[in-house]
Amino acid sequence: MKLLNELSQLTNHHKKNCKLYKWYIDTIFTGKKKFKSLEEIPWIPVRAFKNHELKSVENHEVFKVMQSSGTSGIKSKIFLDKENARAQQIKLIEVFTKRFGKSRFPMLVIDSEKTIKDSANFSARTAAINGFGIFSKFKTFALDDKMKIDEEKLIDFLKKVSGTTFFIFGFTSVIWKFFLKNSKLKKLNFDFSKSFLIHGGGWKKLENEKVSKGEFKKKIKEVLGCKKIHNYYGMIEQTGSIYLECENGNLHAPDGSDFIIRSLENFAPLKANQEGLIQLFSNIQTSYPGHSILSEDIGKFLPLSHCKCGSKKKVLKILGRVKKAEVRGCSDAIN
Amino acid sequence: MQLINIDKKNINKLKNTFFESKRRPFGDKKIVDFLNEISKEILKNRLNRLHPDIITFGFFCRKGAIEKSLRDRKSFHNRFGWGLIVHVTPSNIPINFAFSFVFGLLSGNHNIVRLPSENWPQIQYLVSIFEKVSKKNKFKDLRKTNFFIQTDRDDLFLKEFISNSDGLVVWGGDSTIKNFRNFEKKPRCCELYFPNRNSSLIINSKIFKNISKSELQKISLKFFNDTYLVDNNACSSPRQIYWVGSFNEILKTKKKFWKIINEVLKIKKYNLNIVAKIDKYLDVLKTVELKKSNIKVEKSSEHIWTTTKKDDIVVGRYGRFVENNFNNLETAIKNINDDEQTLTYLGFSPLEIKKILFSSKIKVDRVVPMGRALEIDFLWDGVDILNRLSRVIDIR
Repeated sequence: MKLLNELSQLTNHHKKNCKLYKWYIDTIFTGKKKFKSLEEIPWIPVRAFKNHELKSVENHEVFKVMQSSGTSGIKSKIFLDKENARAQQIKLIEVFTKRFGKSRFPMLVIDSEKTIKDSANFSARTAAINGFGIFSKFKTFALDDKMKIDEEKLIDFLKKVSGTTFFIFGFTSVIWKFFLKNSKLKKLNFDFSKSFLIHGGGWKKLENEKVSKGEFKKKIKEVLGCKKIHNYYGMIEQTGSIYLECENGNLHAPDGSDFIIRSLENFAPLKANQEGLIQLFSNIQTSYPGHSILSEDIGKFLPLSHCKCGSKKKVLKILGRVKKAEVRGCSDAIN
Repeated sequence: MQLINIDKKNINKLKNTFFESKRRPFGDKKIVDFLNEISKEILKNRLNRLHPDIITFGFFCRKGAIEKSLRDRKSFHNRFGWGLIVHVTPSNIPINFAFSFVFGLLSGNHNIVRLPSENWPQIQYLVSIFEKVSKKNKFKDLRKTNFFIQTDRDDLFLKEFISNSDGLVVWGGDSTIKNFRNFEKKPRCCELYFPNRNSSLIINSKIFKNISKSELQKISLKFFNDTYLVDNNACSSPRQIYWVGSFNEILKTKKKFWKIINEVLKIKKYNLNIVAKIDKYLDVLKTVELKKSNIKVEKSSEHIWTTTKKDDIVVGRYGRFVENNFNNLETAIKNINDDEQTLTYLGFSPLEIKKILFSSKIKVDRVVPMGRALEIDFLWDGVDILNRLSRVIDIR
């Protein structure tokens, strides 16, 4: 009930401070102020952040504007004040340290340094690399500016860390396309036994290439010999509040977060094992109304788990993304 | 008629084919025969019943139908096509490319039809039928001078084709139209653009008084075919509804009307793609942003959302309709947006509408009874397409 209270308060906070949010919520959800369950908390479609400026702080308080990677062209804009940016960081630290302890580790980033240097082009990838970067003792980028493997740097790094605890981080599609699929990449004969790998971002690009999760993991084990592989699920609209796979490969909501599944037919809340849209809740969004978002990801939940990892939270299963297809009409003609 | 991918190798070959080919007269007999065979192929395939739009196209291409509409035209003689026409067709109405192609053929042109990138089953099927029929020996020359292509919108070859063509037909959103207007063309290139349009429905609520159940059902099916069949997302599909009558009358009528529509939607198992369902919410977000306040959205069901014109300035679609009430027909018509395409009516005579329209500054292009909003014809957007795509040689 604590989360429900926090989310209710956030809903009312944003209604007070973001006019557009209030107009929308009052129109669609007819002005309710008290909510008895998570299902009753008003939601906003994730694409709302693409075409509208939704913020609950004054312009001069905006500290950073985050933008999504936006495969479709139009990017989401997320307005952060200092407090919200800090809250994101604290949340991420909480999630990470819970799983990997409070130490910092050498970090191998499967990406190009250019991705984070180009501050004009702040993307989900930038946010993720910087975000996880705070857990690094030192960082090495495995790819050069042209997204080719920088062999010298890679070997150099691995020589240094072989046999110790270090972590590898990257976007799933980048790891696959520019690293694992690089024909020049041979089995790296270093000691990865204490290493772990964290990867996130959509599977969409991989699905197009018909790559399954199993295949992805297999290939990593083959090439790197790294056995602890953690996928995470999250969206730039709720940065920090990520769902990190536990050691059993299950996604649980982090503290201060939860999710429900809504029907593809009529958005009604669904029960365990039923497939629908994932609606994500998080209690840290104060500078923009992103505390209750209806995503365009399809998933389901398994009932309260007795997961070996110790978590009693339900398990989120991601099944894919909605397909934009078969819209009839002629308003937006050619593409 | 082949679907070809344009590349450096075949572009010259294609260009030569077009320059060598002879021009064709307007309403050529061979074209009418060709279309008739297309029609036969379509109508004999029972599977096509799953796609009413393909069937409509099949009927449209029948010899009898085409000959009749050609006979009705006065200026038939000494008419020829301009030469080569490039068609750029929309991705959201699958069948549109085929109509555009037929207009080009009948007016006596050679055609390059750029297909939309969206891979509709209807498009794949029709292209295969065109291919099959054009393989017959008697249509050999048609096969040589008509092609379907798939290219990027800014493709260099497409630009080159357009710069060499005698005519360009573009169906599309406003930005698409703007883009193609700026392309380089021959000085005499005949250009025809079909931009985004909106349409309305005007209903006389009086006719609902003592209406029989069967009559009500007929009306609801007509409405369905005009709107939900294309998610009220086509230019000619009404997105605004103007109710005419007294306040109480309209109130009662609306209740009856949306109730029966809801029943039809259930019978037809109407469903929207999930992305469109979400878009409907985003459309409301757009509306409140423009309106700068919350608005009232009446939800008769998940598929029937109505708003009032006072509140709602964003064009309705996906089952969202903007309604407005009027005492009489005249005020209703005078409140129509200036650039509406189709005015669909129920319970009025076209003559009384005509009288009011002609004495106003409203620029409506089509006035049709309910149920016929989506019927495409040689007359579209106020333009006689066949005449525009052809020229008359003045011989005295």
